[in-house]
Amino acid sequence: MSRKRIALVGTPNAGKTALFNALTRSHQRTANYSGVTVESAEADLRLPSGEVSVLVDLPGAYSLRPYTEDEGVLARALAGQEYDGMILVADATQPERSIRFILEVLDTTSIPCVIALNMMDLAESRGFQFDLSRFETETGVPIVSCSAIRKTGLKALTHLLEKAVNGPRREKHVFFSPPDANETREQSSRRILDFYKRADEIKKGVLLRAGDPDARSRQIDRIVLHPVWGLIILVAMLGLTFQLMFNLAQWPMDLIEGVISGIQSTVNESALPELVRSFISDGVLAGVGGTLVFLPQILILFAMILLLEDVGFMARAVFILDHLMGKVGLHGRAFLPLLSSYACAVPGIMATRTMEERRDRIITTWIIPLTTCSARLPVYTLLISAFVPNSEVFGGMRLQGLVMLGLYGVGLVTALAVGAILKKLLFKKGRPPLLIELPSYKRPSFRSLLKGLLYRARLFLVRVGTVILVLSVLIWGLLSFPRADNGSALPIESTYAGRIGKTLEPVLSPLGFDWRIGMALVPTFAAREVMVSTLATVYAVEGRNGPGESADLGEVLRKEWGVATGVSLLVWFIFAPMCLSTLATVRRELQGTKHAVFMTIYLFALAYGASWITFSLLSRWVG
Amino acid sequence: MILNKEDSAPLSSLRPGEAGRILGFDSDAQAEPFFLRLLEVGFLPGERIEVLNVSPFGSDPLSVQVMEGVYAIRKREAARILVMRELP
Repeated sequence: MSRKRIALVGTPNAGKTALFNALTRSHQRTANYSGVTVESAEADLRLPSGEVSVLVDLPGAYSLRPYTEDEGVLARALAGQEYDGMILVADATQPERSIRFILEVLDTTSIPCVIALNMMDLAESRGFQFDLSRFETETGVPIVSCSAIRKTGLKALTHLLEKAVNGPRREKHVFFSPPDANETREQSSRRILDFYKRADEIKKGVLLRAGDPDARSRQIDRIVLHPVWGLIILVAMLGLTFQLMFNLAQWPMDLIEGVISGIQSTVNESALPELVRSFISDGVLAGVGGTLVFLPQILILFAMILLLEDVGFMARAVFILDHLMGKVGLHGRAFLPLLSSYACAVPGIMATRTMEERRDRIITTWIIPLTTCSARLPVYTLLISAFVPNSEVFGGMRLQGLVMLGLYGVGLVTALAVGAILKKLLFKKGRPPLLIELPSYKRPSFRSLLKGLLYRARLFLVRVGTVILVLSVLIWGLLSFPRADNGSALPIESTYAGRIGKTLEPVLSPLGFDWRIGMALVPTFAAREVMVSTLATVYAVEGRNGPGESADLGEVLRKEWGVATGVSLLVWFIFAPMCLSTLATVRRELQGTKHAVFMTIYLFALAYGASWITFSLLSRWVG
Repeated sequence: MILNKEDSAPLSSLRPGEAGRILGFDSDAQAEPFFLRLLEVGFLPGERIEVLNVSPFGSDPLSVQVMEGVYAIRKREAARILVMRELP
């Protein structure tokens, strides 16, 4: 018998995800809905009888009339037949709005249901008092008060859920007749008011005492949204995030690198045949290890994002930045996707889904590849250490650090310029409107945070384990074959990769790139960071540093290339769309090959143009 | 509803700390999905609305307390929500 599927439904900020994490243990998976992957999860939920069901965390919505693409997923899920039961999460501190939403959902679907009146601890501390039995008689649906953070009421919840799931399906349209399929806006708004009228009647019986307004959040907002303090706090948070990402991540990154190269040398010294050793060490380990190294940075960035979102700060950041971001055509909500993109563009593009307007999503998605994702870092680090002298410039600052900062800056400025141009093209009538809730400040739940992080770590590892592994092996194959008749390796220019490099050379030589760089650029479409390991392979395989020896790569590059070539390559990496997973995500999220193709073209054009100018100028000045 | 011009003011004209009662949206707003969404989250006629904060940049957007929640909307849309100003 297949497992029963339970939908978790609720308004944003009602603590839906916290409840999901409190109810389920592990085995979290990404849930898929009719072709769209929503960043939303499902996991096993054990019912009191011991039966294991699947709890699906559906995207939050304010109503079933879809306004964002996220909300469309919910409406479609509830209209279908795929769920055997449903937990409807409501915010106890917002009774009126919650009751309206509950009524709308109950009226739309016949899925057996139990209501979780969440955040009861907060509601009680503000003086709310409820008569929940009254609610049950009015609606015929069981209701439990609970707190996902304090883990109260959860047993009663799963108990009632099991009872509901095994009971009959409910009647829908118990409150109002079904809506006309082509309802006019006027009818829609009357309908909303009708629901509110009914919600108000129910509230009068259920809410014994209305709580006090959230004075604490108001006080905090007076500081966090203050014209001076607010900005200082925002900049400090951003600074802290990047500081942690680059400094705290250093030692686990060194550790991962150490372990990988340890295994590599064990493999290289073993008695295995040369081809096998090379396959494991240069193919599998070099490719996967080179990507795995970013796990600490990605986890730190996501920990900060999850934490800031959990406490309620993210919505405030949007509030502060919306006006500024509007100048370059961006929605305030683009802040979070752009911030995520500094770790990796893929989750960043997926996070654009919370934007109501497709045009907003398009602009944000188009400029995301210009943010400096962490995969560019190892390439930047290598090239800077090779071609930029670490001399001291004004006030103890080092030139290398400044150049690194400059690369981030150029990416950001270009992103903003592209945004401003797209705004002119897409928003002829001005920006689409903004509505964002500023939720009450909450204490973060570390369990929830940890679970969210583990989930993201798994997504990343799965990607490393599949896509990157396959591509690394493929690229290793290109670099190692064909072989000579006696089975030994041929010189690198005779391999498939070498031939590709030679073919590309005429196109790339105006940028100062020779066939070796062209060859090393091919695998960067899998993952940019592979550039470093490919260059290492190319120069080690060529045997310029003696057999099998990997001397300091930066040292080697400095001898091999001119400064103009090195800097030109740096510039290339700011713009070039060299990441197939990003392009695949764009195609899936914007539902069109067109966007992915145009994006590839515009980014290549930018990269080629900028590198060409850089190389032409530098080779004249520096030689 | 016929309103006396002196009674009604656009929400965007309220300063932080000032409050009013929602009278309705301007006449074209009914046709826009955004204003349906506002209704859904609780911007109902008769509901009390209070301006809490304005953003440091350009005083836009503004945050308002309405029904049980706090929301940020831009001045442009706030200008199309008519309120009856509450006396301080």
